[in-house]
Amino acid sequence: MRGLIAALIIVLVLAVWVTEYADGYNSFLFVTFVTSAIAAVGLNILMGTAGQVSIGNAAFLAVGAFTAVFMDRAGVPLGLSVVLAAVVSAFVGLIVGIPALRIRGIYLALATFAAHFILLFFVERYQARTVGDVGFYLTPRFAAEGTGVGYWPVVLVLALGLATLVAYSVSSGDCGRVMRVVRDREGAAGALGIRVARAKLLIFAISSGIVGFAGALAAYVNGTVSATSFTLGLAISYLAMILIGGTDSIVGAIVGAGIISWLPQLSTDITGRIAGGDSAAAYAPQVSQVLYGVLIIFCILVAPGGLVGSFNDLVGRFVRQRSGG
Amino acid sequence: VSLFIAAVWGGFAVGATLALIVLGMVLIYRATETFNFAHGQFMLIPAYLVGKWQSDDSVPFFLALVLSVLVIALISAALYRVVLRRTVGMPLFIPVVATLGFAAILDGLIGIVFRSKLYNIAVPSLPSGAVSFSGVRISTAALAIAAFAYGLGIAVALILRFTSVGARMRAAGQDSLLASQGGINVRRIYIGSWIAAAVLAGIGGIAYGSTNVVSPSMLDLAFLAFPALLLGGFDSIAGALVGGLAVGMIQSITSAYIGSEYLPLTTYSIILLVLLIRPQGLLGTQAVSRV
Repeated sequence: MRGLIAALIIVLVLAVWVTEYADGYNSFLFVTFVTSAIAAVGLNILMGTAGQVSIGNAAFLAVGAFTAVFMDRAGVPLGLSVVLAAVVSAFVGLIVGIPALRIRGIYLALATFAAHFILLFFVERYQARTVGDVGFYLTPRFAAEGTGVGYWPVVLVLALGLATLVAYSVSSGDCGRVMRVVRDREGAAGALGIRVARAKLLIFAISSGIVGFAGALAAYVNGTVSATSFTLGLAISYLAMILIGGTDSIVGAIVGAGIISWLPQLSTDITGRIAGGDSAAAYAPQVSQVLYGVLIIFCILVAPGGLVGSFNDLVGRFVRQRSGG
Repeated sequence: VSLFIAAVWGGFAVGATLALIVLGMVLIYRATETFNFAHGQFMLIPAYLVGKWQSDDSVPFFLALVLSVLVIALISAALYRVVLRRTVGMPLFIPVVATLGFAAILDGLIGIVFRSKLYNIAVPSLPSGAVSFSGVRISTAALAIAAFAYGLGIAVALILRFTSVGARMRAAGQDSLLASQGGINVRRIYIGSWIAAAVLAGIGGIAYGSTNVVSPSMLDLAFLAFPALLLGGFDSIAGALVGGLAVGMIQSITSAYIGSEYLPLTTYSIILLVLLIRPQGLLGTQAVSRV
């Protein structure tokens, strides 16, 4: 809890700094990081706390973004539209989860894999019928005050705080204990009188809702929404965020989102160093794909607790040495 | 009628490649109880290698075939040996995420090495010409390749059913502890399953590339293996062949009669429907427990 509050305060201070001093590109990186962090916090309660994996993150981001587009075109104000996007995504999550979560095992992976293609089919049809390949254009709220980024970084950090609050309240206390029993001992959970299927469905709906909320916010921040940007690779990058930061840790999800959001920039630099400027731009997406693949495998094999887990281990060892010696 | 025959033929041809891919995924599921999301890359890499070597005119076809399949077999064995064998005892979703991470690595490398170029594969000594079924012309070469793929699939199924290797594989898949007590080298069986799966995927990819074009969009075909896998039953060898053929048919009939933009809807709805109605698939064992 203390770590969590500290992390949020650091992000908030960063937001104020970005608002005041950062240039356009760095503030863009920052808002990308905060919207990804919201989605990662949502995914973490599913993956980390309840032990279920979803490959449909890109699709749920798309559901949120396109709900926001639809609402915006219908003239619904921003605040309401973002909340409705979260509700719609949670409802879609419920529909996808029903076939998969009543069966024991990793079937949610398959169901969300199917949902990725089916949901993208629907948003592509909607886009093809209304605006075509160019995608939707929303009035970018991002540049609200002329050239600057305005108060947006701070607003987004408050949204991150809200998502964190929801995630914290389901992953702590009785509710969190129920989820962790479901994760670690599904059979025992049933024997304890926990309605396992209902618990898993509930957490999947909440998680999808938060991911959709992030998608809607990102849509307003970027100002453009196109179905082609929601790829399976994007979904995998969210899995990488959770594993790198550390599963079942909200701070870990935020840290992981920071690293993965920064990775495209890093891989452009790396390819620029090695192969020169021209190929840097051409290969940067592939290089970052390789990098987050390697990070996923590395975290699974070497640091199952992710960065936060390793950090806690180090601190724990240090404290024990001090008190023991 | 000719539209229908063309659609059935198209489904039969796609189903041939799918069957080989799904067969490999069944072997992997039996060995490691995970879905291999890197299977598309297992299929793409050999096809790209053969296509590139042929276009450079550097390696003759049959040598290229053997070498490329060897490469993917080594990659597959490395994935199992270095990564997946160590995920035993971790949460169920970790192996799935590991194969996704591996798929991301291979995908990025394919993009860097082959730069999403297109290649053609020409298989030598195939009969040329075409046969005609009530107005639909089908090239004999494509027919021969589809027949070969089904033949290979059926041969593998028969080997697993009737030989002692097959019996050992089934035993190791059903109860690894009991199998190892019975003197079966379970680890060797598992790594063998991964190698066999990669070889099947590689041959499937080369077969598909020889009748179509080798391009990154072949990955879409590998994704179709998941509905086929679920429809046939994760652990059923015969189900792999049936599921592959069925999904191939559903796909080509959708394109012919409804429109190819509806493909994601009809094919991927199969996954949700099977999970809802019959989670063990058509021919799988009923080990699914509801909670």
